[in-house]
Amino acid sequence: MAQPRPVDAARAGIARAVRHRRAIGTAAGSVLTLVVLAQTWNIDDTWVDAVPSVEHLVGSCHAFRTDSERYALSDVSPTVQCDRTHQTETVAVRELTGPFAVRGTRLSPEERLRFNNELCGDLDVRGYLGAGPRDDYRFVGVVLRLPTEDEWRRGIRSYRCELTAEDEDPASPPAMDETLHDILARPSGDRFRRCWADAEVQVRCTQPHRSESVNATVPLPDQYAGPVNDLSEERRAALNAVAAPLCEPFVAEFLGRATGDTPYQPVAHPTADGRAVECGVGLPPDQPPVTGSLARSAQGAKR
Amino acid sequence: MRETVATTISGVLAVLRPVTSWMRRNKTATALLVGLAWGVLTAVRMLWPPAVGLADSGDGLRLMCQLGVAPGGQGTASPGAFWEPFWPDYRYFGEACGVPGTGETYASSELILLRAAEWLGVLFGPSGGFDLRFLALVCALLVGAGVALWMLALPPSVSLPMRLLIACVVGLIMVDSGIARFYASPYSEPAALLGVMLLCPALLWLLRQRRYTWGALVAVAGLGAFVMLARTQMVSVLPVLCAVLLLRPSVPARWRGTGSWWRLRLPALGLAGALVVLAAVHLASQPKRYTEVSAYGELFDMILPLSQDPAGDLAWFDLDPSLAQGSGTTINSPDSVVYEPSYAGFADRVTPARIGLFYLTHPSRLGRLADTGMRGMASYNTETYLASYSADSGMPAFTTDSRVPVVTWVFSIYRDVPALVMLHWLAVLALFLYVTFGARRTGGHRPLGLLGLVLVAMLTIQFWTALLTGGAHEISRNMVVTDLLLFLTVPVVIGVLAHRGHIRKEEQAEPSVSVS
Repeated sequence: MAQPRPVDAARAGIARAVRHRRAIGTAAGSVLTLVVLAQTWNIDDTWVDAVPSVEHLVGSCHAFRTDSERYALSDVSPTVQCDRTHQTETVAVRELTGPFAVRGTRLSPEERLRFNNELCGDLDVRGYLGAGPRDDYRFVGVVLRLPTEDEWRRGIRSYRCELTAEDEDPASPPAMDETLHDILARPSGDRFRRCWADAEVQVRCTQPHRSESVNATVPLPDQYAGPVNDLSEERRAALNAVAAPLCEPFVAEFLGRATGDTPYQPVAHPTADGRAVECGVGLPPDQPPVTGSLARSAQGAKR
Repeated sequence: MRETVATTISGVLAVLRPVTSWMRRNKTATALLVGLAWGVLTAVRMLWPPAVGLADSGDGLRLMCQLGVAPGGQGTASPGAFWEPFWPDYRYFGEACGVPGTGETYASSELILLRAAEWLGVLFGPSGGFDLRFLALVCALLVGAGVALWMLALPPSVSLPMRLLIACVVGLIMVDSGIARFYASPYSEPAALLGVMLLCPALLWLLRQRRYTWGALVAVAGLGAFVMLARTQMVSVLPVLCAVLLLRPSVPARWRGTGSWWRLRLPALGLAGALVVLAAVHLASQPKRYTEVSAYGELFDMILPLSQDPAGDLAWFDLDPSLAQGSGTTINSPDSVVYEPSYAGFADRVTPARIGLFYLTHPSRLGRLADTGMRGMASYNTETYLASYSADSGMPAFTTDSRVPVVTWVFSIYRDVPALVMLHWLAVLALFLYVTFGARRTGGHRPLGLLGLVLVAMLTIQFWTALLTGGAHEISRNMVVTDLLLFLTVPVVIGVLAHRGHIRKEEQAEPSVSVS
């Protein structure tokens, strides 16, 4: 049998070495590929220090920076002190019952909006805000928070209703730095009161305005009801003359004294259908617009 | 005068001759230099003051929150008017980080690029957040690497000037305004776009081998996985990848390389199987919310607007015909019908399978659908609702980038005649079929022809996937990967036409990639 030539053996050795190096390179490349691809999946550390849904209490305040947090189905972030900047406040913690409780899947984002009124609509928001019979509040929204998907699978059905200030400036999220509980009794509650800058434009009472709502709507006599588009000054004055006596008792109750004892006067703002007026307390014609609730200015510090 | 011009030309050629000679002798170094040049060019076109990117429409948070950062500016998601380059650190809890509404986690290979940019930012950038400009740098690096790889992977039969031309065409495509704007954005498109571009030279490397080597297989499988994981739609390239991997034997000849078809392809079978499992896991882990959003968009924003009998179509899906009022809306539209009581049960009745069955039983709709798709492709880089400039750049709101609009300008011809998209598709398909299976199947032609066929197959699948999974809303953006695949057929065509026609000894002896 012929012996392999030394040259052939050397070539075979070189070829083995080359294959060996390529194998190492390929193995290293394969491992590197797997390590790089593994970065696609992130270790989720968002549940560290999360507060379970069942542990949130009425009166707790919640701070969010992004819209995704504000509108998320659930919230398990730690609460903040209500004297720190926050966006929502829990006003009710309840338990889902009936068909909602037996659902295998959690409500979708659209279902949450659809059932918001059903699940949180009976909240005594007025009572929580400290509104009296003649206090009209606006610009406060209600947010329904559900359990997380994992909590839902585990059978947790508690939910909470939160109050949030509605956007004043679309560029920045609404923020509060005190509790909403009895806020209408405080000057800081003026941002939630409804006022009018003129005959038609509604504003917050923290903005310049000429009249403030007294939370009363009175029907107009049939002969005065009608379309309210492009009301002339004469018609508006006529409506005011008819409605002022009807609104007087409500305005007096709002001010805490007879209207005649104040510089203010009843003002009528027709409703959209023209069949009624919303009563307001207005400034004298020669007074420039003011900011802040007129009730405090009428009664001093006492409400 | 003529003598002066001739003398000047001779002088220039005399200067260039040593350069071209050096380039011919040092192909690898040449490719690296060309890649470096295009990488630098990409970085400059992105970062030259004012820097450019792409504003967040709200989608960006699902990825960026996983880095623990929140949108900059006023603290709410950008409305699209301005690009926010810096995202400050932020701590998310629970479902606040994820898909808007449900908080489900969104996985994408884009996170690989974001992590790389994050590390660059830790090393060189300001603390306290993430700067999208570092992502632009990472993408620029990949563009440069991709251009170099294209040059290296082309068959030896392609001359040096043609290699340079092809590389420059690829570079020009990747720095075009319609593509590059994504490099500094919070979206998952950069991973898909760059992945496709990098996959091409890997495919060429593989297809130039008569018997696949493990290195080329890993490169194609790895980059293919990267592309598939970029976006849910990209999983549709799986069949093409598997077909390529199994095209030729991959068992080394010295391992008793004869036997059954399956045995000869065992390594590739393993990789193809891994890709199938990966795709299945990826699809299963994708947010359920998107299934409903996609189904809503497909029905109300694609099927019904193109239908002559919306009520009948709704009845086909066992839905209340009164929902026809939702035609033309998306699930997030103010006038969406998702709040209607009759919408209940929608997710069970309108599934991807049922949508597919609808089109199978209504083949006449495919024509109108294809027309919508071609118009979507032809409207490349025409969106104006996402800005490219930041608020402090001095540019007006919603200003879009147009720094390198060469491809955009050329493609504007397609905008006027969308049918040119179909003609382009048919023409390249015919050319690549001829090159691959025609009479003159020379060594250099065939790999390029096969690469071209792979691109056409991916482009076709992506076209229909985008049409069947999202509706007409943002169709221009959904078609950007399809557009890129169409653009990339151009350098492949150049390579095919530039083939010199004679077979080199290197190709005949051992058809593996050779670089020097």
